[in-house]
Amino acid sequence: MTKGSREAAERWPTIALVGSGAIAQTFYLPTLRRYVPILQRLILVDSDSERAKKVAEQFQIANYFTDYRDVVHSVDGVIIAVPHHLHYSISKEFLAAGVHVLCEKPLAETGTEARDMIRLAEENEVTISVNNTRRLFPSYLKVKQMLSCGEIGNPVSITYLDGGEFSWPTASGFYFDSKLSRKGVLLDIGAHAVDLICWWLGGKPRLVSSENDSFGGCEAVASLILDYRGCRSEIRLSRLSRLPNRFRIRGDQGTIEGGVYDWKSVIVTKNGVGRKVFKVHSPENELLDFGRTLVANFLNVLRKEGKPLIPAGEVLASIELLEEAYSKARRFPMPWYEGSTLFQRR
Amino acid sequence: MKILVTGAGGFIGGWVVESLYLTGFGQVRATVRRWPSAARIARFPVEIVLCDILNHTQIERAVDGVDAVVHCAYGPREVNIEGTENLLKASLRTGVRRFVHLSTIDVYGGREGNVDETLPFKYTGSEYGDSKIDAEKLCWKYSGKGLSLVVLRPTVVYGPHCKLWITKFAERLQSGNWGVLKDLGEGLCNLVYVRDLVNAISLSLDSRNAAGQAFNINGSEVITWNEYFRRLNGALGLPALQEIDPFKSKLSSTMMMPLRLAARHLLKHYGDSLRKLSRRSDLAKQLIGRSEKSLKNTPSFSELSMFKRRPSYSISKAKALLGYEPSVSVDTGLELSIRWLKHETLFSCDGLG
Repeated sequence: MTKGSREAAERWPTIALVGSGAIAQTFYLPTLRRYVPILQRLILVDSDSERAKKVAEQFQIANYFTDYRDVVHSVDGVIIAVPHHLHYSISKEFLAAGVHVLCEKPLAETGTEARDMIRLAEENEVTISVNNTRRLFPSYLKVKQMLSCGEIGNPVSITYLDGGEFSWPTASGFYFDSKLSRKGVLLDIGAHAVDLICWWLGGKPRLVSSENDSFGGCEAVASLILDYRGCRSEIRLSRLSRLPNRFRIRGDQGTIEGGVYDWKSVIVTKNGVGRKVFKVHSPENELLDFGRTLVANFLNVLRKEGKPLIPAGEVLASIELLEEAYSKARRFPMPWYEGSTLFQRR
Repeated sequence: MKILVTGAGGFIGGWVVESLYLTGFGQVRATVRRWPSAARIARFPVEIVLCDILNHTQIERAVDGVDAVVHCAYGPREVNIEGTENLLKASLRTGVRRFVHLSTIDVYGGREGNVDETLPFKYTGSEYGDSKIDAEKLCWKYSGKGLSLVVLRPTVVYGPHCKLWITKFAERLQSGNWGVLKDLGEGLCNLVYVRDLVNAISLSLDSRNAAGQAFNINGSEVITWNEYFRRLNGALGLPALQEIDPFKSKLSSTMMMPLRLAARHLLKHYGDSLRKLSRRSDLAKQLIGRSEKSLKNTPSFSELSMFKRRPSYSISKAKALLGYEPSVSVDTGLELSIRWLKHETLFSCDGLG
């Protein structure tokens, strides 16, 4: 190896991708494949050895392991793409070993876990960032800017509706195993919705009410009402049925609205002025294109050429709110399940 | 009693699982073919396993240790026939004490008048109906080998979580393009509320008299399809329904036929590309949306044929041998269904309140 090529190789960090399920296969690996030197050094880890082998072959990854502990001390950075309830336990071991972490959302299941992850990163002088993809939507950033500069005056209410039949091609089905975690759509999609509201408003709202449809398992429909200095936010999430999938922010001088999955435009209606559609430039055509932005940023962080786009500390308020929402949740009234004498033993 | 429920990701299978859990009737093992369809039943802390009934290994694992099977899974022909036989074979081998097979009134092949269980099967050329006949024949074959079998033939099953008869028709009514179909809608709509069907399943699980029998399962009242549209419309709180010219209905169905066939073909072979296209182009999104809406709000030929048929499915045998008694009126069933619909889909909102 020449001195030049050795230096070039040294510039490429070694990364472990822990988890080879749906998010790894559809989001991270197609992006990592674009960086040949990274892919050559990539270590894939999955406790399911068959899946690890299959995915490693598919993406031509030479190194794969079944236990992440075997690689904790051999990598510069790690991408955590495992079931939600494992984010904390696995991340903390890498952080303690001085490894930079990019964690899938939700960062953690509780505020305590999230704070511990952030503390460990600080103590070991590494970064921990999180893939709250919607923070990268240009339209959502536009909303943030508009609210910050008072485009619609003081925000009075926010409605955020996000729902559709669950279609994520989960490999392990962990989303539906109440023995692993009883947290469903609120943790999964609420990690986006609650975080966006905290981010847009610039603070942590107070929880007013939390309702869901859990009977002891993983809820599929959830509603939250939050309040932040008089601005009432209503979030409705569903894994069962398609909802309007839109958000609307009312201010005392106008309204901003948009599609939950539309990262290229927002509509602003100002009192006495009228309605205007703001087109926002975005090179991303597919949701998964944001993987490129995120992975490129993580590589820059590892080379000490940049800071994380979404540091874990920024989503802490939302994780704390989600935890509180679970602890205070009540079940929706569902009269179609009530008063039934079904299956009573005769 | 440990009960295996196949097709637990579906409307009826989901209700069976939920009811088993809520009433503590038995321990449930629910099977789904794909994980995403487990979202509804996962709200209950029940055992959920992945099981494609065409996969022998998965079936062996699913039936291991169960006392009874409620077979709600259905799909294309091979699933209905080969899959059902796989399950029957495994159930017989492992000593399952009761096998409840969810069949359909379609096995009578669209007969008119009073239809009871003495009538023979009738093939019509429909993939669903014909394959359900073949599946039932396999059930009887295994019953002959000693499997304790009960076959239920439900009519039009509706209720909360029903996309076919509730969500779809509510959307049609809300669109303003659906109405009373005059003579074309005066056929009989044999509705059974899902909770009544689930009750019949529970009776089938432990009734000694039921073994080796097939039962029609119908609701407490039989109304016309036009009346169904009116009552559903009323339950939704929509303005009174208009009458639709039968000639126009037939003409629209005829005109929509090529579009329906083309859409089916495109979705089957180019679904992903179409979805990508609609995300990238506003025009494509609008065109696809408009075509989809027109198709949804126009009755198909098979629907028009169903809306004018006048069969009446007798439940005398189920009453006598099973002790089945439907208890939910159409009005109550629709009221609960619409409360569910409004709760779950925020139906009739403009989206943001």
